[in-house]
Amino acid sequence: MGEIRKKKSTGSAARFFRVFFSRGIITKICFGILILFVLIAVFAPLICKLIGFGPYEQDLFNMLKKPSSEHLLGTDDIGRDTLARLVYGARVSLLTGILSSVWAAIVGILIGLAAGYFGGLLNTVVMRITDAFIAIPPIIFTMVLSSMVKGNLLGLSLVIGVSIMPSYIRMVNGLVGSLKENDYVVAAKLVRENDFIIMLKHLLPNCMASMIVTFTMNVGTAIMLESTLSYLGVGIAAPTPAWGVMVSEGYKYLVNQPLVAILPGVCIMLVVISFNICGDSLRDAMDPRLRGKL
Amino acid sequence: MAEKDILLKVENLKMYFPAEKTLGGKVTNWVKAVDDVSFEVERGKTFGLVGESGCGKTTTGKCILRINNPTEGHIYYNGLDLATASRSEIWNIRREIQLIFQDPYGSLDPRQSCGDILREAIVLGEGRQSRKQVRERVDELLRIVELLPEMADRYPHELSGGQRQRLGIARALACDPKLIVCDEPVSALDVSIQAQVINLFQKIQKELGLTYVFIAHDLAVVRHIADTIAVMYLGHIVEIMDAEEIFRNPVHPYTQALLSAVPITDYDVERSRQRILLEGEVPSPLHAPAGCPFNPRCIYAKDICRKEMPPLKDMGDGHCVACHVCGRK
Ligand SMILES: Nc1ncnc2c1ncn2[C@@H]1O[C@H](COP(=O)(O)OP(=O)(O)OP(=O)(O)O)[C@@H](O)[C@H]1O
Ligand code: SF4
Ligand SMILES: [Mg+2]
Repeated sequence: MGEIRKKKSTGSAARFFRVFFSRGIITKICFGILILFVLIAVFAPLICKLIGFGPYEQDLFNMLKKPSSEHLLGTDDIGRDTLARLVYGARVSLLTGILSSVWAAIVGILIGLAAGYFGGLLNTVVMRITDAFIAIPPIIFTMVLSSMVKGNLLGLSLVIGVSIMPSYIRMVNGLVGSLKENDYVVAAKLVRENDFIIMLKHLLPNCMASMIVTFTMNVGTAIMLESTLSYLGVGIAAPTPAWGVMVSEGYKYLVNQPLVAILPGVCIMLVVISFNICGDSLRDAMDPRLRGKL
Repeated sequence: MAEKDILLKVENLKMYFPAEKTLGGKVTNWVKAVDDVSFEVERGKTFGLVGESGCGKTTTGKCILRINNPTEGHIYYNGLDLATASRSEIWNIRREIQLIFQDPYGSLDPRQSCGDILREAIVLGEGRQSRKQVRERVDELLRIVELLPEMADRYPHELSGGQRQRLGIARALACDPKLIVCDEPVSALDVSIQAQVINLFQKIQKELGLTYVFIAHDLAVVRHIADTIAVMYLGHIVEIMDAEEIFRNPVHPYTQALLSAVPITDYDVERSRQRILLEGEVPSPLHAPAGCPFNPRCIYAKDICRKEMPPLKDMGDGHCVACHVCGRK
């Protein structure tokens, strides 16, 4: 029995990946890029040991240098190794992006679920507040609040999380509003399932596919926001190697040593796009109706 | 005649939905989906409810299940008035009354395997059950509805329409119901499968002593299964009679029209019988005609039909008809 179950689960995992990659080479590349950046972020200290420079280490004899065998991607204006800073930057960006999306998802999904399911006054109040929130541009909202967290990564992720939360509330609310009309919800009530379980067992899983897409795309948005804030000097505080910080410090030397500003910019772009594309493919793979077809 | 054992008694049931509202929230027009409907269902028997689309069959069924809260009237189930019962009273008998859905696919959560769907319904029942008991019950239910035990691992989208409906039946049975409201359970299925599923309904009824309220939009489906048939039109019951009687002696013009749409296999009868074709559309319940709801389409309509609503009159033997003209013999 146990063996049969095991076999079955590996079978469905294989199907999952087949659908996931069925969109062709682009998904594969983007997935690869994400894996690469995650590995880089995880093993950042190890990588820095290999290249021989830390992200804060200044090599005052080599300032604004072109790539060389010593500094593989060159150095910035005060002689810090660009590669080492990029590597640590991946850590900062991914961590802020994922953390803020997680906060936003947990709180936003619960609020949207309850409001959408119970409807009525609760729903009206929640949705009015959410609409008001959405009317404020996230960059302004986060700029104001981030001045309170003073460059702290955890605090910044909370602020960004609050700013992307309305997207979850709205999405879950809309989905639940239509899902709860389904006969299977009526059927669950008839077998005496309580509201709480209906929400968690029937409504939430059926929102999951869309949630995953929103989540991955929001990680991208959050990274974008974090980089912008850091670039503007109100995000991650200066010596910390965030990609946004690197762009803002490096663009002054765009003419002499363009790599210092361009490389972190490229990293931001790659990660944000990869999150978006992987989100799309995940949606396909999570749909049991598509599984086994493609 | 012996005292009838009535399980469900519906009295003057009305279900109005607000259709138009003023800005202040005052309702100015109602959809009278069910308007003054009364009937009785005997324990262990099948009550057929027939009518065209939109005449309020599903709404009647949902009132019995208290998915809809009736506007007015009473629904006595084993002595308890479901129409006015409190939440906790409903909660107590919730599992005794089940519904089979018109759309077998929409009523199954696409993310649950068939086994999970049944297990969920089983474990919420009375008393704690061990895993083994639950598994045995799943197998038993699948056997009752004539599905293979392997189906437990499948997902609803992997089943055929007939299999899905069987699973829906199994889920309802998992609650040990006494009364099942079957809302056009076969109208989404192929004709060849319809007969199988109807036979299954009959078999289960015989085995478990269930009572059915069986909703259908054509008489051909209920003629095999129902003991009593009520014909609905625009929220009203226009004729109630024994199932035998409806084919022998249909009285209401609407029933006659419905009946003439049912194919008869006997060639001579088929040739000689008079076909009554219905003209026009069912009026929307929003703009129901005054008087008899059927009057715009009725070939016998007289002046009184456009003014007064005909009451449901007993013509003897429990055969009731609501018609100014045809009821009088
Ligand atoms: N929740 C609701 N709000 C407003 N109107 C409703 C609602 N539910 C049903 N109605 C209306 O009540 C009328 C009867 O609907 P009902 O679903 O009971 O018909 P039905 O006889 O089951 O038809 P069908 O054969 O199509 O299933 C329809 O006109 C419908 O538009
Ligand atoms: S009451 Fe009049 S309109 Fe209505 S069915 Fe009878 S004859 Fe026709
Ligand atoms: Mg219906």
